[in-house]
Amino acid sequence: MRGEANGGEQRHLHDAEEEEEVEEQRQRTQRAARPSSDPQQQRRSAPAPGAAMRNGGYVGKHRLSAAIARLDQELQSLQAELSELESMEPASTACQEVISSTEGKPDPLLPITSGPENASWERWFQRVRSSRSNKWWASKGSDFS
Amino acid sequence: MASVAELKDNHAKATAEVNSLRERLRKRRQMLLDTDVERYSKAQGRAPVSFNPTDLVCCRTLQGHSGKVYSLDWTPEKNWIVSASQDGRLIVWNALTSQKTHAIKLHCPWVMTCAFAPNGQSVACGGLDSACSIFNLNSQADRDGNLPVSRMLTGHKGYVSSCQYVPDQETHLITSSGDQTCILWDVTTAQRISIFGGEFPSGHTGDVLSLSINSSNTNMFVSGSCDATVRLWDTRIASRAVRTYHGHEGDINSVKFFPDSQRFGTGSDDGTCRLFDMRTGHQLQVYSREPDRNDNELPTVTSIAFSISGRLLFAGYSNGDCYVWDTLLAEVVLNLGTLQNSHEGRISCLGLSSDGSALCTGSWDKNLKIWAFSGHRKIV
Repeated sequence: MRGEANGGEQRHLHDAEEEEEVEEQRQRTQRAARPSSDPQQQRRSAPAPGAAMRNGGYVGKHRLSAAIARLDQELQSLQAELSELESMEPASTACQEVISSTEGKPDPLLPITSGPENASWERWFQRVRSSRSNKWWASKGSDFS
Repeated sequence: MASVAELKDNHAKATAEVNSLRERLRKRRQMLLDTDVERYSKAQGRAPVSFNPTDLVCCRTLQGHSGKVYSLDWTPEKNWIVSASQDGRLIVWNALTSQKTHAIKLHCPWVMTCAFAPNGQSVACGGLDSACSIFNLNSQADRDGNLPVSRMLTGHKGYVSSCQYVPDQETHLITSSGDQTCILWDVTTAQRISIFGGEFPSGHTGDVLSLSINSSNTNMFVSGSCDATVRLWDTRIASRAVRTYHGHEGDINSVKFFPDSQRFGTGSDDGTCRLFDMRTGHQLQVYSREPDRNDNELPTVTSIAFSISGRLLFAGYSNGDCYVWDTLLAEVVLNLGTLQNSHEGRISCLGLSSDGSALCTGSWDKNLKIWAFSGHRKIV
């Protein structure tokens, strides 16, 4: 289950320091991974903050240096993104594109749609010869079992 | 090397700088969100899609699995579907006739995902064995009637949550994993071509649960994670993510490109679906359910898919609902979970046929269902 082994319900990373704890936890998480009865219970997200600090406070020099290097790279990346935003168009531009892109495309699941209609869209409601049975599906508008 | 005290000091300073920059970035982004798709569409006077109660019907129920269905995938051509289940089997169905063409017993029964190869000749699956197994559907079954594994893609250090073949390349496949990485594989040699994330700083910081490859530019794919972000990757540049998309407040269980290939949708444990602009990173729309007074917990979104035009967003939820959202007006126009012959359990997966004429849903009730439009269609 998500983060429960660490007693926290950390779902969203706001703090860079918390992310550094993830580095600490990652190895522990991978070592601890074990199958359970439902694979969908396997997922893990970022653990509670300060976990490594709570464990006595010792963080190795190498780990610290690596963490600082990662933070520096993150800084560069964030700075690049900030300058990108200076000249970026607002959301309204993309919203118009979304609307335009849905028009003019024939969509068989829509009650009103642009053409051309394709006859094969109706295949789900046509008689199908099956070698095993004489099942067929009634014409459009009927209920199905 | 500097002393531990100096390093800790530098670490604290760098952390503070990163946090401050993130906050500036967040505010700047907020300023650029001058509208969303719903407000923009309403300002143009658009009306929501209107369905009659019997327009979308369940026209097939595919029965055969003896456990929860976890994943499904259509062939690009033909009407075949492969499904993966808790019963430890893959079943290949002819969706038109409801016949099972293959039933593949897996070595590791804890399967989580499956996918069809572009030519429809092979299927791939993965799960708790941390590997992706490839089966050639034309190969000969052994004495027990089981198909042999034709390739095993091993290398992940955690469960395989999702797999997808690269659309125009039979030989390339991408997997996502609980080890926080995605991998691009060469299926013929079973070698890893690239690893996305892992020791690199811009990788996910939680299990990766889903991925979607851009069909217009197959060098690009997005991945959704327990770290509540989506990341965009260029398969030619594994060293860092192209962009990270923030907004969700919980695990991202499903991510799918919008038909125009410039946007993508997401579904999350936070109960919402969202639409993001790939190029700018803008969050263009949030699709939130009305809170139910009787519900203690908001149902989570397990899987999503867009209709072929993008006008409809199908979202499966943990409580068995299957909302049909009008993507533009952000309104629920139908709930397949309350129609006649609907599933009796959680919808775990869904997908559109390649021509968009049918939606297949898979459920914890062990069945798959096919939905199609049976009403009167108006062509404009």
